[in-house]
Amino acid sequence: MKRLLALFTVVLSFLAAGTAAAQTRIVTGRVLDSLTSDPLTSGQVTVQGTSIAATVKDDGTFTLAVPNRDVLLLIRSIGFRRKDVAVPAGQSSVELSLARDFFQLEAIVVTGQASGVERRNLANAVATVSADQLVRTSTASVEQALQGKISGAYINQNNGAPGGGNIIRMRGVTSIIGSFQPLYVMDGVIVSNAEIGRGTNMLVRAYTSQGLVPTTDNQDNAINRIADLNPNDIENVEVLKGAAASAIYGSKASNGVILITTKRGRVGTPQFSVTQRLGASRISNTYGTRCFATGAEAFAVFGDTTGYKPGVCHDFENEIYGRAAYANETSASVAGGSDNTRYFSSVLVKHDAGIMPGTYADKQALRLNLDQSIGNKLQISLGADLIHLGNDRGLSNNENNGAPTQAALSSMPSWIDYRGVCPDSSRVSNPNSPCAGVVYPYTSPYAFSNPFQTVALVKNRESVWRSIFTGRVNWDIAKGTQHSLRVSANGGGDVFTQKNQVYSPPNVQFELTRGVPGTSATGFGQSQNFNVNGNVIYTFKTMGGTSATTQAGVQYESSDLDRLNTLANNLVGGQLNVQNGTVLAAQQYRERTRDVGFFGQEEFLTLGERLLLTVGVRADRASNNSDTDQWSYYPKASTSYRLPVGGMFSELKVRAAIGQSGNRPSYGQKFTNLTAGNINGVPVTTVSATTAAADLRPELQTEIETGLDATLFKGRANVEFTVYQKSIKDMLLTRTLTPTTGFSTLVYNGVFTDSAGLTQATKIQNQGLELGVTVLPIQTKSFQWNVHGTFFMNRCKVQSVPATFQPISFFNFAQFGTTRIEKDSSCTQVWANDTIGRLPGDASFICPASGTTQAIGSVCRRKIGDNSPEWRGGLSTEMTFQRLKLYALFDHQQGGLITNFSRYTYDAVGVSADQNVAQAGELTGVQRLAQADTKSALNSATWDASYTKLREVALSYELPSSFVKKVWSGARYVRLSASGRNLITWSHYTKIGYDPEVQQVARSLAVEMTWELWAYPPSRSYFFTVDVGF
Amino acid sequence: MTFIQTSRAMRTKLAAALAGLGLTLAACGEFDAPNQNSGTLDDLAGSPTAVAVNTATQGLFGGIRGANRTLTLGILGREAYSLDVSNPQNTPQFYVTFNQLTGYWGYYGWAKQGDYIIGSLPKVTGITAGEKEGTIGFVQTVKAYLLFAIIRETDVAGAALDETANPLDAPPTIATRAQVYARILSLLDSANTHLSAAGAAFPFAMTTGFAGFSTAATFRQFNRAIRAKVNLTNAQYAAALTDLGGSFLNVANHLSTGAYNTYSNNSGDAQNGLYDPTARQRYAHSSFALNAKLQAGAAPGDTTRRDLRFLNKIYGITKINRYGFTVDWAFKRYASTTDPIPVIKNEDLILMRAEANIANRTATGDAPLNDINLIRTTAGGLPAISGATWAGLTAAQQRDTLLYEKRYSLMYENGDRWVDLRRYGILQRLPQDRAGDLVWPNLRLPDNECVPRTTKPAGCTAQAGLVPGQAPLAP
Repeated sequence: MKRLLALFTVVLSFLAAGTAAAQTRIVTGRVLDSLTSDPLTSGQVTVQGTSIAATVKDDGTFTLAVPNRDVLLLIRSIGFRRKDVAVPAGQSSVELSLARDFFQLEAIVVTGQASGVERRNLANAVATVSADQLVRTSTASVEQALQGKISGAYINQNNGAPGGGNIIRMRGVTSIIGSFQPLYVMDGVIVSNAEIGRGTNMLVRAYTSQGLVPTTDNQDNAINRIADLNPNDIENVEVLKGAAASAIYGSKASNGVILITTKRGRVGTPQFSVTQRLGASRISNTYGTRCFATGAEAFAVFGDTTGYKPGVCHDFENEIYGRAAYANETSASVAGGSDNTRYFSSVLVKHDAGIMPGTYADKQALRLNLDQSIGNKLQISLGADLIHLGNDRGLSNNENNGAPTQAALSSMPSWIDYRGVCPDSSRVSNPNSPCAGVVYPYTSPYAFSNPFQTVALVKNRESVWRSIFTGRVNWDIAKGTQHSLRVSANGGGDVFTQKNQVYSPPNVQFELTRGVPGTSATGFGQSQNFNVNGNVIYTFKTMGGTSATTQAGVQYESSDLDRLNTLANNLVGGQLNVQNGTVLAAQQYRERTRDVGFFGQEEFLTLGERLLLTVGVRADRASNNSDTDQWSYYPKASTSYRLPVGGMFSELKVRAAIGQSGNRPSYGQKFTNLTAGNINGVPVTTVSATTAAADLRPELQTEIETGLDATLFKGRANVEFTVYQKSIKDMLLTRTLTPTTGFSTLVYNGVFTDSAGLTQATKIQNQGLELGVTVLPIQTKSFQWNVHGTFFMNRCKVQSVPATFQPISFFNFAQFGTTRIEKDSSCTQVWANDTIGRLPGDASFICPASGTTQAIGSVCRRKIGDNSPEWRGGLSTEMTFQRLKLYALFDHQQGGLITNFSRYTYDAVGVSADQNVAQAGELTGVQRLAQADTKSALNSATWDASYTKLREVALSYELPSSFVKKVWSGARYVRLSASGRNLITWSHYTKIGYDPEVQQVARSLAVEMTWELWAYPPSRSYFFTVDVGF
Repeated sequence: MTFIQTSRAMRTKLAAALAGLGLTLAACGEFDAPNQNSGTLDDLAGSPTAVAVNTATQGLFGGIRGANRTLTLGILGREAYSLDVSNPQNTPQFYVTFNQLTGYWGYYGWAKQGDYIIGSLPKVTGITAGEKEGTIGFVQTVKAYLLFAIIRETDVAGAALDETANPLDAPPTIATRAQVYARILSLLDSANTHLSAAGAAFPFAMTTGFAGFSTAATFRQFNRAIRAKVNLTNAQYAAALTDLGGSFLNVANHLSTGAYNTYSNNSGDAQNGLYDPTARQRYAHSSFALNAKLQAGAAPGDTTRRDLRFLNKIYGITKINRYGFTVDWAFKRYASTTDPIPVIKNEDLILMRAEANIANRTATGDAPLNDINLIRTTAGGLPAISGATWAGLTAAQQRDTLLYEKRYSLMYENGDRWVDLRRYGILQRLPQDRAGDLVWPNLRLPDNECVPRTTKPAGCTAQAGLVPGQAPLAP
């Protein structure tokens, strides 16, 4: 921050001088919406050929001092098409209306670090989502709010737990072991999307090790930190999908860049808005429970029928998750300002209960954005966020001790009542509020935890305090009709602390299995990210309308993470504080990265603003590279041409762009560690089994995209069509070494020597197309209807790979699924060494890999997962009838392959609800299990992941303003709405699993995400909302 | 684009602004990021300190500990079950498809660490020449032990003798079983020579499990004990007897005297993963209960007076069905997270002497019987076998008698049951739990060793599984 202040001082010392006074007259005016005739609430008015400007106030009026001659006013307002209005020398007032810019053709889209072009000229397929499209209904996180709205963005919600946790893959997979999530930039500042393990691994032992080291794990069901942001503060989101658009962000941009712009104040009286939401969530799908009609059936499964009573059947899922979980959200904002000072401030208080008892997500956020003009040349914009998150996500996902609730459910006999027993022998009916002195029936030897007890006693808490502060100084050094020169400096920081407390008292059943009962694990981490960039932008405009914008800049980023994890076992007295454990372990993990980059760009707009040419380059250095002095260069070039067309076309543009970007190694990948430890107090060091190539460097992506944008039928329809190809070389990969080298793994850039002695590189390629269509079938004053559809597909193919390349193993056991990088195959395929059944069986079963029937017990290698769908699409429709508005968003995924290990276990134990009685058209659990024996172990566990979801739906009604004003004269509007999220899912997969989207057990790699295993159940949510503006 | 038309004032301001940016960046500090979380290999392989070398040497105890394969070999030899409710997919492999050596093949990493240590010795100051001899002797003994642990499992599949110099070198040749045994013996003998030249004290610390072998002289007894076991496993009985003479075998000492892998609840250490207090996952094979003999003086059928070794190491649990197995016994062999696991112990050595004597037939009369009776009566509480009874036994019966003692004395420790039965060619006499289950005679080389090789060594191909349950071994 100190550095930023220093910069301000430098800039402030060059305050521009005032402008000379001249003979003027006053012009007043009013600007209306041409469709509704309502006054606009914001906008700018400038006098053409001068630097005279004024803002449109919130009542649609403006006042402007103009020269004593005929003038031409240019009126702009966001969301409307700009208009020129001639005001003769004698005229002092003017009323005009602006047409809506439905397709945002005139909106400025960011194309450089500090410059942009109008969408109608844009040479890349940059998606924009505006505030009102973003938060139609309550949303846990920004990415969740983007689901189904951006073509080319593959967004999955991994888990039903409250608080978010989503993965975005932009235009397919661009990295195998490198970072695969997009870069997030908020108001010019890079913000962290880190995902820091919660420490639940110390309870569930998903990653097992005899080592007494508090290990967090990528299966901890952690929240990726972009979920901290308050979606209500966002003015718009721009998505740069690949290198062609994102090259200017250099070596962190190959997964795309998501640019978030927050709301800012506008000139006018303070405008308050308050939104109150109340909601409820319910489990959207269940596994169900098998009821046992006879003791013999029960005995066949459990080998024991103690306590069996015919007709007694507990639906454990319903008993645990069956309640509605309530949510409330209060948000308020105030915005306003004078010509020189504008402000926006907001507050959010949000609570979402989870359907698993004891789980919740809380968020409180405060934001202040301030814009200050100093003279007419200097503008300072500041923004600050203070956010607190609190949540408990319960225990879910992979385990090795039966601790997660779902895991226990797969092996509990349904005739036993496992609910807590109160001292008066009654049963606890609501697991959220057990009675005092409750005792939980023991589930062993069937299961190793009682889920009723687990949800009541185990805590998995997180508390995050985060502050993001952004600053921008814009100095118009010169602003002439031909030349203008501008310096823009942008900087800020993103600092958060993340505290985790995972606790299970000694009497929790799964605690007994390790012999040191009671676990208290704490994690405390601090993340600090700072970055600053400075830009000089020079624009030269000829009288003919040709303009050239030159910019150059520099960027510096630092990122530090320090995380301390402690583990206490064998808790004395069951106390939570870690000093009460007799077995204590600690671990500290730190990261430190530094990046610096230079960039330059030239934009050339000519032929009556029809032809745009852009070239640019960025040079980056990163401390995560082996050679920290090495520069990587990322050039880009693009062009667009608006064809002079008529007829059905209002606008027709062809565009093409090419660019490169990088993906630098993750922190620590370049080191060969000498790990410290001890054996019974004797200090020891161990040479790590993972080593790195001496020339570890960023992955290099080259993207070429071309497309066609058209506005048709007098502005009633808009089509955007894009095809692209992304080629990635210097792939960061782990190479499995033959252990006889003394190492197991080499981290390298995929370069290998083939059998002919030639050097080849591992390469993957994504090819895809994106189509976005918006149609406005009806646009009248009382009824407006618009429909927006997206269709996008991506094919990721491995182009070359070492012949002897070994798969990356996920579960260490190849039979459970292994990512397989194979020439000419999908980048995301997951293969398993499946086993041909143990008992003599179906001779017709042909192993897909070998193409033959194979011997019993032999290994059949087959594909069991792929998270690259064939295509995805979204369809949204919005109908406005006077004050009534109906909105719905459907999200579809076609294809993809996932494997359900939860059901596999239900079947293996024999407790699937459909174990003996099939659902219509399906196999029974017994039949599925038989296939494991007669065909292959995973034959019936692998499923198509297609789905259609009613992602969002909202019905809102704005009260008549006459009525509103009668009740309270200060009120501007009152809106009532009912909305829902994920209300309906259509998918074959839901017959055996929860949800094809809620499937991942690990999130560290782009390619490891096609399992469902003990997921937190997904839910559907309903909300009732009141919005008041005054 | 040039600035011809811009004013002088503007240029000045621009220059100042750029200078401001430059200053801002200059203030940003060091552009480097060394390893924040651990040392790096350079600390050992570069210019190491004495402490760095000694600490890495102590690290090799982790290699010995990592070579413990109680559970895997216990499953193969039908001593144990691992029926993990969280991982049903793991079970079939031990009985149907699993016959590659995963996990422990990481031996070569430890061997590599040993190479780095020996390579660092000429560069390091603060360790005397005699101490360096001790370090070399220790490192070579550990390497030999670890290579032995490999060949016990891969057997005819062989193993690589040496790790490569660099990670990207072509993988080394896979040597035959005989070559591997020859290398193990030569490593042990070279170690013995270095240990003989060593000063009394080692420069590095021993773990508590090796407290009895903390000088060069006593560590040589460990070296010889391992050599004896190597020779016995390779059916070189006469040589084994010679080696035992130099080992710590002593019938006057407690049977449990020996070298142990130790575990603790210290942060950064490892816990004994075989401890399973609620019998969640690991179970004892029911044949232990079936075959346990009764103690001296027990009434016929009095199962409360089974072999003491059975009673001390196994307990009954509620019967469960899981994955087609019915289990009703679990181990209490390891009673806490910090219980040590034997590497080699006096009881083992005494039984090895008996075995070598039976097989070698060099000893006459009572020599093997005395050792057997010592173990039977002391460890098992069983009646001694009389000389007359012993003399009446066939060679095979004597061997089976010895195998019973080894089975109960070395139960759930180092998988000796499976290795012994293979050597005698009687793996098919192990019990069969489920129709279709097989017993593996060895573990083939793992995929990560085989896949990258263009020419696959023979050891990459699995040996056929044997069908168990034939002529079960008499108690």
